[in-house]
Amino acid sequence: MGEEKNLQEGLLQELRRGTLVLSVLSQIREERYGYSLIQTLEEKGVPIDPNTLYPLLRRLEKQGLLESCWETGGARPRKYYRRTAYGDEVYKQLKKQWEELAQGMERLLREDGE
Amino acid sequence: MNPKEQEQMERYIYQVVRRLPGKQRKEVEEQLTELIGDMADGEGSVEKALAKLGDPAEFAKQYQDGERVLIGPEFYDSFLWLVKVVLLCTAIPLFCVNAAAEARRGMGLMEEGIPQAVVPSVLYGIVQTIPEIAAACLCAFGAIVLIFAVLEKRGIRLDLNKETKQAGWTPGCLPPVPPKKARINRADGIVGIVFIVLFGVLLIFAPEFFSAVVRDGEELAVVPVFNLEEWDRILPLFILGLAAGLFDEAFQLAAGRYCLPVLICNVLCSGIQLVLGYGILFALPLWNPDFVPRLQAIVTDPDLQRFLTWWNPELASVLLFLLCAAFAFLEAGIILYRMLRYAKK
Repeated sequence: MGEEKNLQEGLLQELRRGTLVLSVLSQIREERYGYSLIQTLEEKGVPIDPNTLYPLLRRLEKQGLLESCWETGGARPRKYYRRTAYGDEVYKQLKKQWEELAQGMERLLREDGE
Repeated sequence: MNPKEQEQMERYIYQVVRRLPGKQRKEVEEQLTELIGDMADGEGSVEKALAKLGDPAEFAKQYQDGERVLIGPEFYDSFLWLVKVVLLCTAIPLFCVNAAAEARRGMGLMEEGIPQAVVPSVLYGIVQTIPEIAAACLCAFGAIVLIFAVLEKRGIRLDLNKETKQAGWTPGCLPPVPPKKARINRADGIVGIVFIVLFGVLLIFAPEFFSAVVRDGEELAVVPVFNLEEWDRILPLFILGLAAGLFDEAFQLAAGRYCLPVLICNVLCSGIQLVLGYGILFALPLWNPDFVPRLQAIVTDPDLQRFLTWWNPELASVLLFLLCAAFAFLEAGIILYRMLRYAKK
């Protein structure tokens, strides 16, 4: 039973992993800091673990999809991220692909009829 | 945040950043301070925030880019095979050499008239050599790991189809299956590897193995060919030369077929070996200066005495060097021939 649960969790994690970049890019057109992103994504039903989000933000910044700056004016220093022009372009492409994929998946699942 | 919570947070952050490369640490530390502060406000306490973040080791793992492996799957099988061969070639001859020495000692005890001491003494002697064998095996293992780690680290993929990467892959890019004669299989390398390891083990642990053994009255006299008094200066060059040979063999094994990188590696390694060989043969006192005088003093057979007058260390050095050079050219020639003859088709 435990193994079955692990397998299900693993498959679910795999399924969600592919959507993470698109989810994050969709919410970051304007400047956002890490924790506010976590909260927003959770509110909208796409929760993401902090230990997944922070390394992902770093990777996307390294790949040139995001840019960041530190704001030191508030109660605590915060690092804000936003999409770059290249990030906008990649986001548009991913969004288009996602819409096609979602339609295709819906057709597949409807045919199955369960 | 009270001081206790502050300390808890610092502990957590330390456990994450200590697992990261130095240049990432400061940035991740700042980000985690921000995150834990925000989460603590949202969750009600630092403790709850940390519990939600989970094991810091897992957190750190997410930051690690790419696979961090010493020897990747591409080389792993070759590595494992070479480790087995080299360990066997190190342990077995070393055990045999030590056992033979102990057996000789045992015969001495027999002659001295204390046969009851032979078995325990010989067994004790053999058991005492086990740490030496273990240390030798560990060194051999380390050498193989180092060689393959270098191959992995340098990203030597030996992929000759570079245009594939530039223009994208198409079925037309598939390289022809190399004909059997163009492939380097494990059997091709085994003779060289066994020779290198055996020679290395003997030179390091039993240089007296290279000796003339003659009967001197009732006893056997052992006269070493090499100058063992200068061995500390000579041995490092031998070891470097053999390591270059082993690297060449491992490279060929990893490449799996005759191609330009294999030829280049072979020429470079042979070049290094010849330079070191020149140093050993001509710049260092390799030969035992007492070899002929001692033998002449012991040997009575006139034929053997005449044979000893032919011994000329300078000539031996020249002949040995020429032999090594000829062998190096022959090996490079064979690789070049097979590369041009089969691999281009």
